[in-house]
Amino acid sequence: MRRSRSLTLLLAVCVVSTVAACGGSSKSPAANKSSGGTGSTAATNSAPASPKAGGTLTYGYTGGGLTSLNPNTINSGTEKPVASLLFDGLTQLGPDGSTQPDLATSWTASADQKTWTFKLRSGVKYHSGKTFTAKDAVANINYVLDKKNAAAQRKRITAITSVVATDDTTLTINLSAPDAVLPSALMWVYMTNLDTIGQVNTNGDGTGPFALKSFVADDHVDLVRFDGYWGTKPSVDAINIVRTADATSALTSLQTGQLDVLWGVDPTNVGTLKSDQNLTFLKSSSTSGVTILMLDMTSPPFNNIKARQALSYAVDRKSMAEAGYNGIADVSLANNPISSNSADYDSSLPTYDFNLDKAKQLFAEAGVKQGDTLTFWTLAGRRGEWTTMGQILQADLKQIGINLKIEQQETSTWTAKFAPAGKKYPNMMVMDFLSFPPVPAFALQFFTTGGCECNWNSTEYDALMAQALAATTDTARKAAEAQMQKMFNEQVPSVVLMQNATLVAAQKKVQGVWLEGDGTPRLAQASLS
Amino acid sequence: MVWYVGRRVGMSALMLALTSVLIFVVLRVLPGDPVTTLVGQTEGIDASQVAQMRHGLGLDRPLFMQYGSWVAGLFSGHFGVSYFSHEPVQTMMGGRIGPTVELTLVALLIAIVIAVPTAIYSAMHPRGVVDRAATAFASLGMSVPSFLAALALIIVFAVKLRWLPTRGYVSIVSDPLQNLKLILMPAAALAFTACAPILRFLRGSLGEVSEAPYIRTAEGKGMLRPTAIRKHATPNALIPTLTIVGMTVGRLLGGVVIIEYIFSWPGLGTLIVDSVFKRDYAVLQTSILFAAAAFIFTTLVVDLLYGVLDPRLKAATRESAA
Amino acid sequence: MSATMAEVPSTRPRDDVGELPATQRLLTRLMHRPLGVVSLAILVLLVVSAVFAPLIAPHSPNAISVVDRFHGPSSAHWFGTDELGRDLLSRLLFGGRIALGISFGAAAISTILGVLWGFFAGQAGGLLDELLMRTVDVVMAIPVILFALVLVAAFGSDLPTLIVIIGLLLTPASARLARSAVLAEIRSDYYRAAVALGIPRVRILFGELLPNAAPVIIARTALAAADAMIIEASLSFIGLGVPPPSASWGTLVKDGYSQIFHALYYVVFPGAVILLAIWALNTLGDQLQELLDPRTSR
Repeated sequence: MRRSRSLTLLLAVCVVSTVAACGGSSKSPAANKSSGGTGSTAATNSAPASPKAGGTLTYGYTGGGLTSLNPNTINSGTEKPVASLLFDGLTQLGPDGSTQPDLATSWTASADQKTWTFKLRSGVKYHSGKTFTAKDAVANINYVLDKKNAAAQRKRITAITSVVATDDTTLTINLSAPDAVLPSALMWVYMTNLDTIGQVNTNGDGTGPFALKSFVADDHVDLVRFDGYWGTKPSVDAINIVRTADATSALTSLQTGQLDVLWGVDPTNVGTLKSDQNLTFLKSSSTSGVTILMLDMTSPPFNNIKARQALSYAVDRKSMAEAGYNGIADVSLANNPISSNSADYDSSLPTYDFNLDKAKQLFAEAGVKQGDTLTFWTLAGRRGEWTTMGQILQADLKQIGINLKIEQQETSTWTAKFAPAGKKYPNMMVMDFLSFPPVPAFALQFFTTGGCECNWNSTEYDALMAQALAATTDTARKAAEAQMQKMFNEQVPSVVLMQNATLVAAQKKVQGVWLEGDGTPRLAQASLS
Repeated sequence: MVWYVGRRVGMSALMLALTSVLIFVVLRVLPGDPVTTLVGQTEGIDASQVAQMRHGLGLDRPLFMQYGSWVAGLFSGHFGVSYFSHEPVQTMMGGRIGPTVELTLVALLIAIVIAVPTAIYSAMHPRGVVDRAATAFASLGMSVPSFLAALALIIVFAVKLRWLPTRGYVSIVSDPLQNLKLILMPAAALAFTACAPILRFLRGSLGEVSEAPYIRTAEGKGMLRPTAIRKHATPNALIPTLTIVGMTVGRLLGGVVIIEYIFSWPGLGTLIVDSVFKRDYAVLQTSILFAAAAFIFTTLVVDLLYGVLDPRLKAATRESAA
Repeated sequence: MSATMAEVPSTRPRDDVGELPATQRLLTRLMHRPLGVVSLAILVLLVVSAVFAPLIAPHSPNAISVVDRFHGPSSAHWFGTDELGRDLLSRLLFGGRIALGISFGAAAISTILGVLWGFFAGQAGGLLDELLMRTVDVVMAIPVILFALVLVAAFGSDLPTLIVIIGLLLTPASARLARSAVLAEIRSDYYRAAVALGIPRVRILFGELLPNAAPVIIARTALAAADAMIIEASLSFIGLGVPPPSASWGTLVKDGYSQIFHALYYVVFPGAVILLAIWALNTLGDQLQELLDPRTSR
């Protein structure tokens, strides 16, 4: 009878789903408890067998897409890996976190650190055949300095008053204030071909080890080896950079071998990947990305230092690292934007151990009453771990009588609420991941006036920053930075949860890939064995 | 007849125009705009810079002027330029339309290939095994959101069995075998939900038509009942099914968005979702309008075909026009 | 007007005074059909478990226990735990409140607004009718998911907003149906007689027509509820559903999907429940429609 057929089918569905569910469940294997970055070991994969030359590397990333190839207007982590493949800067980041020569072979500074002279490499050609000279360096630095280009690096080189091409291979940079870390600041100022920058998405014309073959915005970038490269020739013939919006799909692709390297692995799937014999996790030599809760220091309640400190006590950093990152993070109990592995880290600072009673007391002193509501502002569809961590905070705050409303928004709406700096967002905390290079000064510099969306306008902090930048000796710099860290720890302009990096997994056959401090992969010297 | 066609076409054009206004207005309601996303969290950008960028992109002009430029652009073949990649919208869409059309067509094809013969066979042998199984299947199929079907397929064929890839696209001309492997799961997921309404409606329509007097006449003349159904009932039942196919295209266009997202299929759906998230108005306006236009066009074609194929409707039209 | 499949209901004018109202007769006849009984029973079960969730759920749906993350089904947690150690069964029960709440709420809104819209257009006729129905067509031309995506991005995704947005998006289909109902009756004798007698249109429409058309509208509401659930599940899957810690079934599917490599139960249970609910709603709607259309009832 018709009835029994439909019902049988329905029953079958129920049975099958139950069986599948029971069959598929398993206790997750104990997560690897190692926190990020030991700092001493080299980060590259050690290659047991000699790598084979050639082949195509497929690199996948999750989340929002790559929309532009202009390396100087990057505003998203997904665009960073391509920049160093197509373009070079004057200096570059080394695998050990140091500043290495790139298109500049050496540099010297005047005694007052206000005039820098860079000697440039000769005989360097762009993919298009054009020769690179100091004039290009001048043009690119001015491009970054020009406000209308909205270049992220401008903030780090604002002290530059003029750039001059003394000759084809000599560059002179004049500063308004001493800056001892200028060479490091220039690492992400890329030398593009400004004659054709308007068509960068079709020509990708740079001096880097790879040249552009094709680019479809938000979907893929295909690169081929540039045989006219001035430096070490890449081993692989081509690199295909593909986007997988959905993280689960990306992971499946990695497991089936469709992807060689995957950036943006969901931390909760670490156990699964670890048990796969063909895959391995890459680690950077020093984790420098930071997950923070950004607060508006110019609106209530977080304009009151007690409220900010209260929040710092209320966040259960350890549980959050465990639930959100499977423990693969460096918990920042001292509320410090610098990684504890850094040589400049001040370990004498008091810690904000998880303490709900203290939080309750401080909140009350700051005027946050029982029954008040705060908002936790996060992303929809991406960064699921933020929502997970937010729920832990929500449950904890509930215990002390404060309501936390979690609002998930897609990227535009999320950004529009708190950026650019100067916006007011009362009663709100914004979870964010800041990508810092391992140079401690830059992490601290982010929080100077006008830099952070937390609106911390402290002349004292700014003065210390200038001091640190001007310092010519390590001791002097460390002293200034220690003061800054102390201020940060006390004032809590933002609640620093942990240092962590985006997780990157790769096929074991991939060698030569290393990670920057925030997890950005450097693929130029990759090889497939 | 000409009056009928002209009226329908005119109506469709009007609908398209109204839809364009609706799309335009709704998009402007959204908080944030392309400038906010462009700037992102770049350090040290102040409000005056943002205002300047907005002005540069023409976003501070009155709404009706912005609408006017857009429509004028559409007529002259300039669909605008993406605020982010600075590519012309027609290039971006041009690259994406192919994969979406391919996916939708393959899904529709799979659905029709499964639904039509099954419905005909079921009608030829009513209340038999196939008929009852098909009814149950159709009922189930209509209850499954396409993304659930997609998830089930991925879990079985990609994660557990590792037979099929879950992401990517190659053009059918460059690598037909790989194209087939890649399109199989997304098209199947879409087809699963599209198949059911077609199957049900055709089966129901055939069921009705099978009781018609002319079938009995055919039987009286010595034709076997199944043959009569196949030869006479089917063509009559197919006409109203056209309408369902038209409506199914509408459903497919909706479902294709999530399916493309799950499988990283580089089609119009992914483009639209990404552009919504980025507030890339230039791309959004034109592509959503395009999706609506596709639906309006399909409905128009179905209506016209209906008018042409169904002699009763033609007669009625002639009567009312007289 | 386009010759799309307008479901012309076969309503009849009310019989003699002693008969039961059309709706009650419908329900009685439904009880004699096996699929009707099953689908209704499933729905009742789901609704009851949602309403009484606080009483029957074994744990609090928001009780976080980081050490108990990703435990498979066991005696302590029949359906296992999620990424924060919360009990999945409890979350499913409470999730039903949201999923069914949105589904029924949106269906109700779409029916109420659709009836008002369709009745008004149908009895107005002429240019006004054309205009109103063109608007309906225009809204239906844009794929529903896209429209929902854009509106939720603009107006937020908390519970009332979702109900209203989805309800509005489903109104056009109900409006079309209500209008067909009106058009079918306008030519009938009793309608013309009532108008001739001077009875106000509003009274005719809502006093006579609505009760007669009620069964068809109820059938359509059931189907609208199914559609609403699909839309809500899809939005939740992209991440634009209700905010945490609340979770509808669609949210649970999304969260479960990222864990299919080591916790398959997490996606299978919510997925199966969604499927069950939508099937029940669709089947109920179909059964009601079959009952009302004398040509297809076998």
